Amino acid sequence: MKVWQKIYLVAFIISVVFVNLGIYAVFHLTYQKSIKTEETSGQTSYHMLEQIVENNFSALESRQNLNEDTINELMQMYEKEYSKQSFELLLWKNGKKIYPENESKADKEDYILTEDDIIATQIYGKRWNKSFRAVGKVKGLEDDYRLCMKYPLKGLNDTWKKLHKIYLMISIAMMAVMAVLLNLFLHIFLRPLEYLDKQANEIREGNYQSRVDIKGKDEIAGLGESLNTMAEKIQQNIEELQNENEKKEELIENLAHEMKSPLTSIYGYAEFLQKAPITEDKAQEFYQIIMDESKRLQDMAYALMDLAELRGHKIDMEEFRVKSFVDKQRHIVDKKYVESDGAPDSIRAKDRKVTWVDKTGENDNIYGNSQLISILTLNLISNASRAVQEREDGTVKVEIEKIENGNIKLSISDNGIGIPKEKLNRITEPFYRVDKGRSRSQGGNGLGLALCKRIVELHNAKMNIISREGEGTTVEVEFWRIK
Amino acid sequence: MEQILIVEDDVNIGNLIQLNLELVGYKSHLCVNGTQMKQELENKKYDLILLDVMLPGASGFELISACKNIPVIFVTAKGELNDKLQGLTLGAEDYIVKPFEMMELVARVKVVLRRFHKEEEMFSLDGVTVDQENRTVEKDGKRIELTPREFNLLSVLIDNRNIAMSREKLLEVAWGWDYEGETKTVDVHIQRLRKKLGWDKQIQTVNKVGYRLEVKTT
Repeated sequence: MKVWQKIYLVAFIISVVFVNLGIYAVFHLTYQKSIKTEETSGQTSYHMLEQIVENNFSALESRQNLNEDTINELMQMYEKEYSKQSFELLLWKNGKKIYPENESKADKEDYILTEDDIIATQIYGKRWNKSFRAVGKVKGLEDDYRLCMKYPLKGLNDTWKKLHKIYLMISIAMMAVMAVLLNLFLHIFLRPLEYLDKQANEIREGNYQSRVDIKGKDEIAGLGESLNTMAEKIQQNIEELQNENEKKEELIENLAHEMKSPLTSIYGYAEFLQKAPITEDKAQEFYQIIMDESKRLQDMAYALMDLAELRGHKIDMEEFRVKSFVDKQRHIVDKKYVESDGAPDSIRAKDRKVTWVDKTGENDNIYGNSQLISILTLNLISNASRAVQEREDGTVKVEIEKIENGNIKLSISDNGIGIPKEKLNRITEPFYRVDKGRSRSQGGNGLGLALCKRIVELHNAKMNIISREGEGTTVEVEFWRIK
Repeated sequence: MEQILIVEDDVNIGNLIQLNLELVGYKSHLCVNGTQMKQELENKKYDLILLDVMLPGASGFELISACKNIPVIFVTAKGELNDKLQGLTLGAEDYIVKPFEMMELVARVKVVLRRFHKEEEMFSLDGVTVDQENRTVEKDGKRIELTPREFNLLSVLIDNRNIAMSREKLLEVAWGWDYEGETKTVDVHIQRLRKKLGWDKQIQTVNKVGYRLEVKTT
């Protein structure tokens, strides 16, 4: 059963029961009061009659004229007097009914008195057919004369019969009205609940856009708000997840695409070696190309693995001397390392243009992972070198110093090709290149800055890229000195 | 002699295409970006342009309008249907996706050149002249009769000169047969061709690969 039906049923029953009870109570009490009143008035009437009867009968008795006839006469006269009220009179002499003379049956109560001879009064009869009866002994006479007076309480009966009808009608009408009004108002108040239920359903079905619009400040409105907030959160979460998913898919697409060039070379030259007539020298050339391109793929794979591995991992951090670190990087760049420490090939050609400025003291430390910071440094130097490749007076400067707040700042700047302003914010995305063609021909794979960004994040450090197209670029990274 | 212009920024791939084309008898020139391409087009007349889509600066799609009336084939790694459609809609004759096989590149180039009547009809080697359009062969001036199958085989060898082809490949391309086994018949036909044309040395057996018609490239 639905909520509103439950409430309705209970409310209806309760109200009907209690209102009816109330009306009935009032009704009943008033009725009782009326009856009491009638009884009193009946008593009064009886007293009056009794007096008259006593007087008349006494008078007759004293004149020796109290006999059946005279009694009959008197009784009939009395009845005639009170005929309007439909009085019925009965008279008993010494236990035997002498008036009315017919054989009509009389009730026991018409005769019985209580022990001490006072008047017995009674209201008797069925509900709307009440009558008054009074029985009493006529005083001052030789024999035991009992007088019974009874009459139907016409007024009472009529009135209350009518009232009863009215009461019933009211009751029914009230119930009908209650039924309708309760229904109406319950619906109005509980409609928001139904609405809520429907919206919750929508959201459950996957329609996270839907929101409820419930006015007011009651609990249902509160519930509605909560529902909205929940749906909002769910939607946000889903959008975030979708976004991340899209990014991942893009990354994979880009990767697949990036792989095509080296693969084309490798396949092409291998096929050529197999099918075409070539000299041994040429063959050797081709073998080298195949190996170089394979290496390119390998570098790409490693860079990606690094990127993947650095995802959400905690790294080992320690304090190490800046000076020795810088010397080591310099060593790598100068020595034209090909493989170790991840220094890309392109550094080799351009190392002559790299100047190093170390403004740190003997005892200055960096707090971080030296391996990763090394990768970052070499990557940035590599990027800078590529940027100045086509410039005769191109320079790359690596500067490292301690700044006011005690942190270590590493800046790598070049006066090369620069980055257009509108592309700056995307530059750290994996595989994102400003100019794909140029980058590819210089041997880049688009992952360097993504890797750097990740390393910066893991160190809780800050990276800032400032660039002007055609003029140059500076990348600043600020590392913590201590934990 | 057909002249083909290659525009490709990856030097290795550019060289590779050049090698392929020269192997089968075309002359080619390589440049690495749109600027160079435009310059070349000013200086020389070309029969076909092989244009890479991903170039530094202006992309292949942007450059095609500068190709005047020379047929263009896009050579690129972008192989989505959208890209292909775009390329063809922009007016390219064909669209090759990297990585590609030698024979595929050669075949597509040939088709476009033929379409524009830029192909040389006659092939001559050591006294033998082959007219591929009219399907006639002459040796030292005298007409040589070849069966249709023999001629098809000869045609494929000529089209893909200097490229070693497996028996299965020859079966497939020359006669449209694509089942394994029965490669013996290729050997038989090769023998016949060698005999009829006197090309014992020219039609080479390439160990573990197949056969190759060797034509000295200049």
